[in-house]
Amino acid sequence: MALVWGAQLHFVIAAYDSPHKHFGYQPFNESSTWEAQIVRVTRDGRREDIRHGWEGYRWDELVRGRGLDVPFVRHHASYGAAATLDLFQQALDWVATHTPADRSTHHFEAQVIVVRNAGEPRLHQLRSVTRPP
Amino acid sequence: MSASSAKAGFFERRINVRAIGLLRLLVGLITLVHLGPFLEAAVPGRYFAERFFVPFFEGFPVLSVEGYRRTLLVGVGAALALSAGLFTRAAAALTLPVVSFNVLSNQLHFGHNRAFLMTLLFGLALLPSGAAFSLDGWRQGRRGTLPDETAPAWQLVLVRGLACTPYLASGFSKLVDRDWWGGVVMADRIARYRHVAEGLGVPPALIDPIASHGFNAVMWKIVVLTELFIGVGLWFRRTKLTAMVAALGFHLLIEITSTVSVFSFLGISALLLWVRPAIRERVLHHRPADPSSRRVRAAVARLDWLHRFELRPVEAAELMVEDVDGSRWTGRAARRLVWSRLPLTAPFAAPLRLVDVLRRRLWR
Repeated sequence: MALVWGAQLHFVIAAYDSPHKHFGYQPFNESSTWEAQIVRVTRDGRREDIRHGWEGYRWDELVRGRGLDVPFVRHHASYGAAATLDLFQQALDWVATHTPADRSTHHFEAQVIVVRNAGEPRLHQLRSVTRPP
Repeated sequence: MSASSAKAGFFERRINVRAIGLLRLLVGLITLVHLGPFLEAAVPGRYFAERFFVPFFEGFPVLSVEGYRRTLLVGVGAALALSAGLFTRAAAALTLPVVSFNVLSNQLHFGHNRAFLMTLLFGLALLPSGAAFSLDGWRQGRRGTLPDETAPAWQLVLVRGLACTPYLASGFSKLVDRDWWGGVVMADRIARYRHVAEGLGVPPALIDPIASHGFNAVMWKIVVLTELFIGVGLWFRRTKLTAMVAALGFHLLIEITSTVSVFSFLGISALLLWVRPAIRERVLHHRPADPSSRRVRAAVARLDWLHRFELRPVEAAELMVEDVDGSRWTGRAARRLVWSRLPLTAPFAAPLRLVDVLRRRLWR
């Protein structure tokens, strides 16, 4: 009993240090909102908005769920702003490494505007991993 | 009694878990509802692993789309068997890993309601629940043996501890969050979804007070304290009924105001864990000559699925119920006690029963 309850307690306490709060039971933890602009930075230094697709790819076909597929409009950060930023960073990295037909993009950059619990908007700059040559 | 013999007694004591059979039936159905959308996507070949996904652990196995589809089908079959109580232990032991695998294979699959589902499935894998409301029990009955509806008491206590955690953890996290406790979070949400309520025809005269600072500063403190009260109150006999009624109201409020998938159904079903683990503890003294009394008796005979009542015909003046604590209830209060203990009518009658109990406590 102590082992199982201890494991449960561990998850609950660990959630305070985790952006995602998995198994920590903190539902509706924030009313925060977010939206993002994503550009691809090409190997020759151009910055292009990817909203309407690039090199045969579309963001909303590669990334789904939690509002990540339509980052260009304001969304509720349903699991909190920190969880959204963390997932969005991972989504950028995933797209950078799973688009083999794209030969011109060097990396992706995103400007994410987060409004945490009706507070002041804050700008976060994210950058994907560099795509392999 | 020494501490060690009390401890040994606790681990040896067996209790009736008939109510867990009903919980199993409901959780099996809820699992089907949970798995449905995943299967619906996987059957035509839409596979989450072909898009951005984040497994919970490095090296977590990624199945082929066919393997994933088959795994979900196994989960659906296991959930069906779990609900029906067919090879119950095996079904419970199979449903849990399939649901867990699906959730853990992608962080985007995670939801607090799914974590709670996994917790309850763990409970059902631990607690023997196949004797009641089950094909296993029915088959055993046909063979002429009485299904064993008992389980070790410690197992139920363990699962109860897990099941009250969502209330305690959620309540505490909001208690220590200044924005939540101050009402900022919910006031912001209400402001953002105001247009939805207006679109549904809710009059501004009703929305304005709910959106006001004063309402939000007070209301959500009450909600947080209610959550904490549920998590604690369920453990004690004197507060259990109040906590259960609070939990019903709490889940109803969430279901109306938010999108929480299967959480409300799980939360309400999980209240079955807190049903007293014994049968025929209450005595219904009914008057065979009285038509009204006969109707109550007939309803109990049909709807007392958890075997809460022993029926005794008497020539008393009116219908009377003797509760587990020896207290006696007559008239409408007795009827409300009866309805509050029948699974079908309990959600509606429990608040009325609570009023009776509080009224008697106040008058004493």
